Amino acid sequence: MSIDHNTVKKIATLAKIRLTPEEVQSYGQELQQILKWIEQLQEAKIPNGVLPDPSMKTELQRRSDQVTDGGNTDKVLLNAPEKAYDFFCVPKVVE
Amino acid sequence: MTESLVNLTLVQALDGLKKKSFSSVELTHAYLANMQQKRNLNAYISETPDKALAMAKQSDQRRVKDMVGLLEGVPVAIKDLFCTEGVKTTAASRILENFIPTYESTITQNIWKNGAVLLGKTNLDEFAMGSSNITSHFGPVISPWKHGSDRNKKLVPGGSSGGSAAAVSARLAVAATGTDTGGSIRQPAAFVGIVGLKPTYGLCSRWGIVAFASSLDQAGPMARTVGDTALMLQAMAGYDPQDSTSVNTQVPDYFAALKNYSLRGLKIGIPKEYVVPGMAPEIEKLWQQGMNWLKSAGAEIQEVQLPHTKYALPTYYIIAPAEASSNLARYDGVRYGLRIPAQTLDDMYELTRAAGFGREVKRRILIGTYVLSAGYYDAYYVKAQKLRALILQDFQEAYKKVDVILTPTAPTQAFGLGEKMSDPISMYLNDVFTVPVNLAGLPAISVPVGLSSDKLPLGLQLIGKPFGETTLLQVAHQLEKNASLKNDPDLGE
Repeated sequence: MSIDHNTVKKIATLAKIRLTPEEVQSYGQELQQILKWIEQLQEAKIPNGVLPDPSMKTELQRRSDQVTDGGNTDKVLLNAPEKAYDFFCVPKVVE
Repeated sequence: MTESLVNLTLVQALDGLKKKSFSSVELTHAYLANMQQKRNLNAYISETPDKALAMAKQSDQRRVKDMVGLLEGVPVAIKDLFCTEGVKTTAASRILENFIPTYESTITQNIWKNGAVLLGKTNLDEFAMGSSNITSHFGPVISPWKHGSDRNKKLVPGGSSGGSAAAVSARLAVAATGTDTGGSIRQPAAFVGIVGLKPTYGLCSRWGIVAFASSLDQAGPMARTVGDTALMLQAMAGYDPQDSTSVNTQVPDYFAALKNYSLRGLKIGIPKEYVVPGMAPEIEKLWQQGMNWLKSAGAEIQEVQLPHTKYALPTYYIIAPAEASSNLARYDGVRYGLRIPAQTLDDMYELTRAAGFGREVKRRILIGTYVLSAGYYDAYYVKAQKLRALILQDFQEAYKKVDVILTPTAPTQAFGLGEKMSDPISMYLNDVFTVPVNLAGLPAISVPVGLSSDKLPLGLQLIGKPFGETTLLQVAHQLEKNASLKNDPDLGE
């Protein structure tokens, strides 16, 4: 499995992490090395009918669909990097 | 007086408090003084002395009224991955450097309900990703232990719960909480000569813990003795409707189960697949010693097969990063945490995450994004999930024949700061014995059983059946009695 610089850039875009050209280079090498190591899984024989992780089959418990709290605007906004009135602020999205 | 107070175990401290030999305020003062003295270890990210003394005072008042919890008046440390209301919670990341939770994790709520006192929040690998505590944004933790022949060499306390491990070992807390996704409680416990228990998946609530890999993460206790660990676990465990994977089961009296037990006829499994290249010969010897001790106590030793063991690490390094890449998507600079201002929303996301995450965290997010991306999902992620099922099946087969499995905790003793840095994989390999347990959702405990020729602690791991914590603690208790170590880094023994 080879991982070229375009692939690294594409993954970084998907992961929303900006990389410098030097980082594209160095992460490229490290990812290549890790993926090569992970590649040993391809030799593992998996019998027919094995389902992915059985623990995922058990149904998760659900709480009843009820409002249990609210009116915590101040708490919700306490750690906001930027806020105005009762809202989080972000850079303009729509022109 | 002060010095002797910090040398008390949790059980001894509770006894002293009960007999009114000292108050919780006095005990807390002793710990705060020791913390100040040993700041060079960098075990804590935040110390909370004012809160500690206020909580200790309240505890002393409860004691007068005879309203005592399981951990009444005992000062503990909390890994800085558990949200604590009004107390900064960083996950050792720049991206959460100034994050102050407005709610309290279920585990810490349980601990405070039982009367414990918060000394501070301990250092860890960033987002719990690491095995040496060197990826923390707040600098590495230094082990309180000294290498026998090179006393100036700085050693790692292991990771990711390295701050909690160092704090308990160096007497900077009576006990501490940790979290374990691939060995993050057990490996540091082994490196600093304390006990660490990773409970069955679902026994301890994950609510309010900063998530790394949700299907593997479990909180657990770290303490100086098996008895202390049992008490901590009892205070922490329990059903929580806020965690959809929490299991609704009765929490047994783990501590009482240590008073009277017999290992006669108990079957101990030894997996031959855990003899790995590069394992220190003295660790193999100690493993044999452990078998002999348990045999003398009446247990039967039996070989078991865990044939998919060799696939556990690469499987883990697909599943854990995949879950991490998804869990860590929430750190985008919008609602909390670091924000790097930018002209567009995408620029803001990308610059914030580039500046906020450290190198190991970014590496894992990138790997996780890759294995989940179109075209690779089946080859990596689905394959890993199937292998996870086979690894669990291995254990289920073994548990038809044996009750508990005995292995070393780590293939080496604690290594030096800056070692194993040349490539990420050599660091990953340190978790070879602990990772399969997380993949299978089983409970496991690391017990200190000896010292290496370099005078450094070594641990053995016991792996149990689901919800077999009582048996694990009993077998661990037996090993502890046989080993009879002081586990004091200051004494070097």
